[in-house]
Amino acid sequence: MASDKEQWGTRLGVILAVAGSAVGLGNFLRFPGQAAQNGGGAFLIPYFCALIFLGIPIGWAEWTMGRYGGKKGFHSSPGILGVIGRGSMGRYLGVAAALIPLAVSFYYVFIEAWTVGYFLKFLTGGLGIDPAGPIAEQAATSAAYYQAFTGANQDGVLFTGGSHFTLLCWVIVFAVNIWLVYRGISKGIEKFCTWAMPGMAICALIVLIRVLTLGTPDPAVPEQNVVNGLGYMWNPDFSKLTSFKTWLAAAGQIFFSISVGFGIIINYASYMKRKSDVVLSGLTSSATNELFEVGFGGMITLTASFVFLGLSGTIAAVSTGSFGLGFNTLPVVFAQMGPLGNVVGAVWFLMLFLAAITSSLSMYQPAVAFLKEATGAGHGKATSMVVVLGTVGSLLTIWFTKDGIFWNTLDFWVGTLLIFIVAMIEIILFSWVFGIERGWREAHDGAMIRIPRVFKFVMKWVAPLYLLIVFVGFCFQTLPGAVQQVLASWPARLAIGLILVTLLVMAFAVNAGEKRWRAAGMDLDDANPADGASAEVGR
Amino acid sequence: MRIGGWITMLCALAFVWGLVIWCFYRVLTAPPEEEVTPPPEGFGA
Repeated sequence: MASDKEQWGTRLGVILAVAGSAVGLGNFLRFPGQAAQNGGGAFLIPYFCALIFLGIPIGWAEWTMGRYGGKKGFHSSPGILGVIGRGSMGRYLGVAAALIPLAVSFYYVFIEAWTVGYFLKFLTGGLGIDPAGPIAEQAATSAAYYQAFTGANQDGVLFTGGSHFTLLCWVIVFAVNIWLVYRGISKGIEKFCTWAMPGMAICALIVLIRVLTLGTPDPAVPEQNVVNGLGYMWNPDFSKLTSFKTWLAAAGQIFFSISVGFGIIINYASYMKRKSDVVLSGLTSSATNELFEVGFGGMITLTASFVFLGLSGTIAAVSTGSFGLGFNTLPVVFAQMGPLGNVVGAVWFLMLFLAAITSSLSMYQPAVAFLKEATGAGHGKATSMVVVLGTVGSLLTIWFTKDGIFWNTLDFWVGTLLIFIVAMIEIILFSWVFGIERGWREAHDGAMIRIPRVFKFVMKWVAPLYLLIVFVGFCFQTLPGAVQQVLASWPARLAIGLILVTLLVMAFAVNAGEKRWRAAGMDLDDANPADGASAEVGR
Repeated sequence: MRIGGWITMLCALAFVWGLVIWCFYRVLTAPPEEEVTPPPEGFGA
């Protein structure tokens, strides 16, 4: 079990844990689809702009705020943002950041269970797709398995149907997650990520090598080859750069991929030593995420699909979305790979599982930290509370599976919209309330590299404005449809209700925690700055 | 794949691989945390 005074064991440990949190299914499944639909290689221009002006600066702000909050003895978003924002407003805004990882975990662990289920299926003979049959028939077999495994046809079918395999997979991944979180920061999460991240890289390399050596598998259709597959992903269409939609998609991809605004980095960074580097660590974890996204995700997924399914098949696969591509189309692709197909499929889904579990761990840990701080419970008791909350949230997700409406609603309102809002709150609190000068000094305390000075301007002006423009564009593009869905579907309304109830309970917990922290003499409003700055600085 | 595709792919791969290798080199060759001294001005110096 974790000790009361938790801390990362090594510099590399925290980097790999944060990188593990950032690298998820979206790196391998969402990024290639977004790039192919928005200009191919040209998409990389707005993508890297968003990385430099949005992702990395906000990430640095989160690392710095987290470590500073940790110096004050806080590890939860409400506690840390209360310190940074010097008052109750920061604390209550921080409730949103505490809600995100917990609410996202409700459905994320369910999807993580799919990766385990598919891994086990490929390990034991595959999904039963006959590669000799027509492609349409193979796609139908794969789709039928996907529908049955995820319960997409009917609510409650995963409980009442003939097979409880999905439930079993969920129990396994949930138990592993909780056990690792219970073990604590250093002995659980850090230790696991230290071997899971290299393991994921090895799996990705194996699949990448297999895909790049596919050549032209069917001589009858010579245009379906690896080079043309890469061309589908990377040939630039610069005309797309004139579209706001492309820039919005690129910013959105960076934003969700790099894990800023989730309330995760801020929690992880709070367990760092007082003088630990945050600048190089933040850059390294972002760079690692980019390697998995561009270096592996951008090379594997669509190339493999193109080689076997051709241009029209790949376009159709991309249009089915990330999960359709990963769990529906790729099993058909693996079936074409001959005797090694099941092995490659197993390695692929093992890699997705490692990507998912290193992310889900980072969702439970902030919840445990929040409950410990707000209620005064010990580590074991707080972990038990997370088990109860996680079970309730996940079981609702696993029951209301029809068309994925329930979890898609959680994903949109919490896992997408609220993340924009939290990131905006964080960068404004950091640059304007804590103060950019003070934040800059704090970031460089113990830093192994210096941030170029231009980023002071970027963090104060460019990132908040960039974020605001992206947020407004995002709302115009998606909000009307999302509201319509909530009005039209009662599982969607139930998901909204779950979000609101959880938010309310957390706000009450912060209220109670506030009194406890004051009684315990904690400096929850940063009246005595840990960096020796005047209490008025940055106001 | 067109020449533009090759160029963008190779540039993007060189950027992400280069950045990761540089970052991990700096992290793994750094002295233990207690011995870190403030770096001089300039990115990566």
